[in-house]
Amino acid sequence: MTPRSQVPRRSDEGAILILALVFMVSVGMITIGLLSVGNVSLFTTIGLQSQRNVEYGADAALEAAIQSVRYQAPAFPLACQPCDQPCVGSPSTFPPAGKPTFTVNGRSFIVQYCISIPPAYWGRQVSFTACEAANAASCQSTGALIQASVVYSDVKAGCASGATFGCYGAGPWGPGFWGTTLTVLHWNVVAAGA
Amino acid sequence: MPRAPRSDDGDTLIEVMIALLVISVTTAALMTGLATSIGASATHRNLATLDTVVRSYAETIKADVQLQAAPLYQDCAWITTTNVGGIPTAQYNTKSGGVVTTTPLTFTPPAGYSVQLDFLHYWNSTTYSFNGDSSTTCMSAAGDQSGIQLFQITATSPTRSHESLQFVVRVPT
Amino acid sequence: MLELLIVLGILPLVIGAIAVVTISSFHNQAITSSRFATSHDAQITAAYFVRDVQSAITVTSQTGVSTCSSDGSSTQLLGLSWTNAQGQAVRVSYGLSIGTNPTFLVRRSCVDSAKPITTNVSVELFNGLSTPTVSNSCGGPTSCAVSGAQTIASVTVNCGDGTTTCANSGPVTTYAAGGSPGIKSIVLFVHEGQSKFQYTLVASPRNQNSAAGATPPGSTGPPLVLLGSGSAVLKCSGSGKGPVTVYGAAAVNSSSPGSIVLNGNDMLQASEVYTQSTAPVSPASAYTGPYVVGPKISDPYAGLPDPSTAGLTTYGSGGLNGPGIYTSIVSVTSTTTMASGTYIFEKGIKISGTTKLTGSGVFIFIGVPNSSAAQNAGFQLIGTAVANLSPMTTGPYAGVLIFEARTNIGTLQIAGLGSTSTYGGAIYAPDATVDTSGNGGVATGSIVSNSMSCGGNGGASIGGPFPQVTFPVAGQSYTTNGSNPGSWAGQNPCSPNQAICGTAVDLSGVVTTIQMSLQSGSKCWDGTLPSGKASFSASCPKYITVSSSGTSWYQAWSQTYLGKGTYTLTIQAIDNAGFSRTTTISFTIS
Repeated sequence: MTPRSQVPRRSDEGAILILALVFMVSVGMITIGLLSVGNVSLFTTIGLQSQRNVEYGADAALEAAIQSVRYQAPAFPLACQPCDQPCVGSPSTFPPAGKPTFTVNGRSFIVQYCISIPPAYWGRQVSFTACEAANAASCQSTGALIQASVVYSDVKAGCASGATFGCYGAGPWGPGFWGTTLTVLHWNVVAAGA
Repeated sequence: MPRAPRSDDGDTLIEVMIALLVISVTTAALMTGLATSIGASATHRNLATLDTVVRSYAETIKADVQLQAAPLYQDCAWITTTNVGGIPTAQYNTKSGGVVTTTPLTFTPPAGYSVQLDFLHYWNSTTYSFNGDSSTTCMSAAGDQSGIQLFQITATSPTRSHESLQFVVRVPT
Repeated sequence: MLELLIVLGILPLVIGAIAVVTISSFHNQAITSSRFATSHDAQITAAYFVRDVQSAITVTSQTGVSTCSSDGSSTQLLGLSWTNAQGQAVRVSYGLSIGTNPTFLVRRSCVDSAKPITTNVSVELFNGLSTPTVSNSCGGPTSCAVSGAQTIASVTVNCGDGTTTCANSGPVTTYAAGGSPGIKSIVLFVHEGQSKFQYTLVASPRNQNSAAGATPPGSTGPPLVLLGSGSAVLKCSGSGKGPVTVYGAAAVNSSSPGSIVLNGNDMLQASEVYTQSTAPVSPASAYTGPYVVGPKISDPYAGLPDPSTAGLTTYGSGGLNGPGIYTSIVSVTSTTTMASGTYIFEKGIKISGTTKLTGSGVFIFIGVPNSSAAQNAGFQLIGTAVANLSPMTTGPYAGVLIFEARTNIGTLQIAGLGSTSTYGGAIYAPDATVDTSGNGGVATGSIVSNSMSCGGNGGASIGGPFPQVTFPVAGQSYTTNGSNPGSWAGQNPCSPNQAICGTAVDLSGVVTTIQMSLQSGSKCWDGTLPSGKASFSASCPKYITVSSSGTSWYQAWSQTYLGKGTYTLTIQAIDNAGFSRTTTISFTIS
């Protein structure tokens, strides 16, 4: 029988190094995981900030367009008839061509709109779509940020009806009474509802 | 003849020392990483809270000035700041018939956070641009009384990071 | 030995440090991850919540229901709905998840009848806590979900009337209308009890104006609609200077220049000419009002069915009798009063000579109903004949006086050479021409036809109010003897009993005022209701406003007010556009 002292013992050399590696890996995984989460979260934050700025920029452009169209006498024939939503045909644009771009929160925006005037409707029904200027080509589809429908009354203040002679539109009585009141019928942030 | 067993003298110490060195270096790095994550989470928390503050302040101003039943909006209005209960509060000033009306745009941010209204600019319907005219200039400048006003607000966190946002109010119907 | 000492001395320090690192790693991992998650929740909630509230048209904070769900969810904090730009109904509900552990704050959205999409907007809020309870009893906020001592998500709806409970019983509009005070803003508050993290979101709906009040005042169908295309759809010829006056819009479905051909300056007066042509009127000086260019107007009576012949008496040749079906052309050569009812003139009708044709509550159909064959039966008012007709005020043909079959091209000659003829309802002839030429002139409630011709000095006025007197009947004589058959009381069908009453139809607006003036000799009734005879002391005309409801009006009266003699009753109706018309009848008390 071989003496115990002479039995070759399994060596413990390097065992602590292995333990150290195990420790490093486990704690490292945790830390890397946290850093990764943090990285993703911060990038998400940047993205959401940008999205917020775009939403309020589109909101601003739409409000400016609504106000701009309000007092404009419509140019006949209207550019975009019939006026389905989104526009069919060639919509008008705010700001108009040749005017400075509308910039808010460091981003540029445009608003496309379409005016409809049914017969004996003493006002205008206008559909607006706001989008980033860079997405103008797809403004009526994937580029739309906010869509709104507005009704303008073009009846002279004090008139009970636009049918009363002299209470609507341009004629012998003057240049017309555009945008006496306006009503926002619908205001849809496009991403809402998804 | 059996080989003499290798001596274990000093192995434990060397291994431990090397292991300690490795662990120490690594731990320092990992602790730094952990601290970074904790710091990032604090920053992220601040940014998330700032986002809610700046959105809420913008919505509150928009409701007060444009959307509510008795809106404050007036062309050529101007902004001043006062202290209400120790909180700096922006005020919306309008003038009618020579009489100035001042209305605070009340908003209470979370503890440690502050908000300020940086400016109110007028949209000029002739030049198609926003300008920082004074209220007096606005009243006489062609195109300034366009029914559109640009606000810029800034929210600041306890750690001095801040978020700004621009938005527009329109003259109510 | 030395080694052992060194190891024993160093190791505890090192291992202790390593243990601290390890423990703090695991501990902070959980806390830091949770902090990232709750911050992320805040951002996601902000992104969805603010947009949704901005778009909302109706809001509800009623708990126990769900604006959008098919999973039986009843843990709603806030429900929103609106119609998107594509006309789809969008419904969004913020509430709690079902069957998850932990409970999440979720956003459910439905578009039309599509399956709801659920988005977890806050996943950490109730982590490790019991299922929260949702209620409207929150000691301040409108609705809340509470779990544990302090973890809550609450919604406060700030109503336009200063309250926070206006939406607790069901959806209310964001604009003030129909009992809703409107919504100023909605506040979402989230507080996590364990970490003390909390945030508040305020959002304000953009739809804060009443949609009901959006339509510009007076917007109704145009009283003149010409469905034909090509040139000269409206044509006035001859040397006559009677203008065509439209109390509202003249709509012409033609893209041809010169689709309206007139014969002098200001020959067409209208609030608007609606057409597809940018230069429809020739000469341009004939009309100087506003133009609107747009798509063709659709036939406003396209869905009006041909009348049923069931139960109607059939008449062959001969004159005009009562309501029924006339299979031969009808010739009216003497003054005739048409009884109320439906008249079907399969071969047309001709009124000639000095005939005065009157009738109220009348519906006239010209042609064979429900026939696809081409027809050519018309309406002819010739000579110095005069028509004074008013339509039914109830039923499927309310307001429609003459309806010519859709395959019938027979001309409707409606103006004579004598006095003005009055057609107090719509003349609908989608395939025919309405001819208003004649020195007699014509007033109609509305003309919807293929084309229109005009001329003569009588002119044509289209649209506006048409008052009509039901009792007393024009030309009739009444006694004031109790309720005898010949007495005012005995023959009076009005309510209240013995009243003077009638109708007033306006197809281009809304009648706002109806007045009467009753003349005896050279003086008029002064407006007081006496105990004896009415006082005729006022200068004429003396208009007294009568009571009205819908298309009916009355003036309380008694036969005892009137003495023997001849009286002239004038009724004036004024509509919201300020257009007015009068009708005058005479009657006798014997």
